[in-house]
Amino acid sequence: MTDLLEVGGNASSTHSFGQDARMVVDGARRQVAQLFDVRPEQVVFTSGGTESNNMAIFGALAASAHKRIVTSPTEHHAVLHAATAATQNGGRVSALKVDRNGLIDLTHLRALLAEGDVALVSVMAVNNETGLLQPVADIAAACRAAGVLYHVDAVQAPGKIPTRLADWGADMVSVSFHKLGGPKGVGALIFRAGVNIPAFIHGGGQERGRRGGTENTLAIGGAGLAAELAAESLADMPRLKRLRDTVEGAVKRLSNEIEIVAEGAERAGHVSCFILPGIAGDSAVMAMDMEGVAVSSGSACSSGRVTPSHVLMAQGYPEEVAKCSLRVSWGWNNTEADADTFVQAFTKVWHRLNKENTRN
Amino acid sequence: MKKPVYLDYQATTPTDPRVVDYMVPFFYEKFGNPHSRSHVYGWNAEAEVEAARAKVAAVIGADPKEIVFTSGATESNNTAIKGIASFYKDQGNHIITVQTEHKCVLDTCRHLEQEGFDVTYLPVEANGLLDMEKFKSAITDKTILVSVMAANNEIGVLQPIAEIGAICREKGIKFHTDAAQAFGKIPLDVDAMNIDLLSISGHKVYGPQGIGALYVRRKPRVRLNALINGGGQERGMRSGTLPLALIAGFGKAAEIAQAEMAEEHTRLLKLREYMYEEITKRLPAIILNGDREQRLAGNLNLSFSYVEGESLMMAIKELAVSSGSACTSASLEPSYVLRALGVEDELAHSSIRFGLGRFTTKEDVDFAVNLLADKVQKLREMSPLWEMVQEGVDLKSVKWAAH
Repeated sequence: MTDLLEVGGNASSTHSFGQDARMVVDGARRQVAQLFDVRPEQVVFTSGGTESNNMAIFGALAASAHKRIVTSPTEHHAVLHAATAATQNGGRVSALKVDRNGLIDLTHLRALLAEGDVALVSVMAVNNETGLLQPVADIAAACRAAGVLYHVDAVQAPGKIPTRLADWGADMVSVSFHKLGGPKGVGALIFRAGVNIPAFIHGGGQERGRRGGTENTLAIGGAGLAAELAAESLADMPRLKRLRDTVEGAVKRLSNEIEIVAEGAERAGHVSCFILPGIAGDSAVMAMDMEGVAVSSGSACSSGRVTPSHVLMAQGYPEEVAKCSLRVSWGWNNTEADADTFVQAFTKVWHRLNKENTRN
Repeated sequence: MKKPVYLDYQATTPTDPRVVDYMVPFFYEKFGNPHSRSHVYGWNAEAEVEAARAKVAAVIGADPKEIVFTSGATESNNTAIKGIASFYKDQGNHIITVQTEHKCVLDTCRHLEQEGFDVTYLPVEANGLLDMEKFKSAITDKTILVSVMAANNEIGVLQPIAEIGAICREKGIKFHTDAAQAFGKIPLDVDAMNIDLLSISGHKVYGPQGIGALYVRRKPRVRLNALINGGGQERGMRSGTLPLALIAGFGKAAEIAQAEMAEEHTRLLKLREYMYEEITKRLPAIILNGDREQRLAGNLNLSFSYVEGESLMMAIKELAVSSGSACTSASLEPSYVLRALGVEDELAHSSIRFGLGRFTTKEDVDFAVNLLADKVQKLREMSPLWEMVQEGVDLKSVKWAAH
């Protein structure tokens, strides 16, 4: 990517500086298309997953005569808040029922679709806090049968699970490249062939009129490479899953009070969400930080506030329990030594915080 | 192949090497999510974001809290115009803008027209500037927003922002300016100029692409409905993970621009005037588009009469220039900006925007002048129209026979 700092043209300019930038953007578009096994023209670059989610939701409503958005309460805030904002003038949001693991109720989905007036169903592929996998293909089939567009927030999916669009059957898919080792500031919305929604950011006609703004050449170039590397990450997933399982096993041996969210459900292999009864998530995160281990409580986006995880609340955990989660995620640069470090640090932290608890 | 001489600084600017050097560590050891409040990676990232915010704010005399990071000026313009329109729609549905605004402002306004807003697209005078009387008489009691760019991207003219701001403030109308081309190039002061919202682009000021900002006034408070909703970053006005490296680079670019603006302006103005004088000395019938005084130092937009636009562009391939804005440069339509100035289509087709900037040298300009003098002369020698003009025929009096 540092080589691309030299490119520096505006991809819309017809001179050679512009054409160099255009080549970078087109190359990256092919790499991203390959990740989803689609044609390059089905890929629209955006500034990130949040913009992609907003674009899909606002666009689906604008393109439809219907006024309702069906989504799951365990979605990322980018989906939930976009859905609320998009429907504030006469539309509404219907929340799908989820079980204790966060899995959506397909029967409820079919019932909501049968009620009609649905412009879009938006259900994520992989939950960012728990790693839970939603039954994307089943949801797509139900939506297709009802003639309703289906959007997947797949920000957490590439490199973790296979992402062939045809297998998912979705109409629109949001991607964020910094979640797969790419740079921040770039994302994409992938369209099934033939699906069209109005522009969300209006402007100079870039991205075939679907998204205005000078193409972010440097970051897009990095995004292309990250998309290509996602295939390698996917191959690395069994290793991360083993790391995770080792760590989960060690943590559970510490205490049978510690719960692993969605343990029995299908999960992506890179993340664990622990519930530490009586220990606030942010205290655990701070204590782990002092031991030299960076983890988070809930999702990074909302971790500035001491609020319970909306994901866990939606899954039926009471508020005081939903404040006690610790999210641990593993990436390509983590090794078995990191797992050992984590277990040692966590053991210390657990004993200390537990002792403080009993003293209080 | 030798790279052409880059004279397209209004399309995009090369990232300043000092900016690149500053950015690189943020991709590696200095990475972090500035929203992660519970570990050191997050804290350091947040500190850098706030430092960059202060650097951007300083250039326009704003408070750092008034700066919202976006993905670029297009998003900033969309956010400002749609956000104000939807938030204040109960107070009125009229918006005033100008025919020569950037495409993203015009497209956004057209979109709002479909949603029931009335938009006045003010004409400009032959020099590209707004007539203040026409502006004042366009204001109605339904007007909620005025959006006028600070510097034009094609012809570089500087609109009377301070005057417009004073009138808007007096009437309680929100004033937005697209300062993508002006930021870091001319002095801007949001308080002195009564600006409520101001759009900034990183890559037009030697920073990276994919990053920009929107200034949103806090006192008196200006509110807007967010365009991009989600995790509530940027005080709810723009959600999405902040791209740390791009923001760091943008901050550095703003800092350099502020420090070097005066000196750079003087140098570029001299260079541009030299270029204009050399070209007109060597070639007759050259028309300058846009006011010569109220203009960005780094912009020269010329019409080369009696040559055909496409042939001219082909003949000067050793210069990286553009015939209109970058966004529309692939289309064969004549520039709508030149049209708004009253430039005839034929002449608009043979117009070229020369953008000079930080790394443009006198040698670059001399090379361009020599090339233009040579090629334009050759093209004119092949033109029957030019021959007629030389013979003293008034082309307007000629009655052309249909084929």
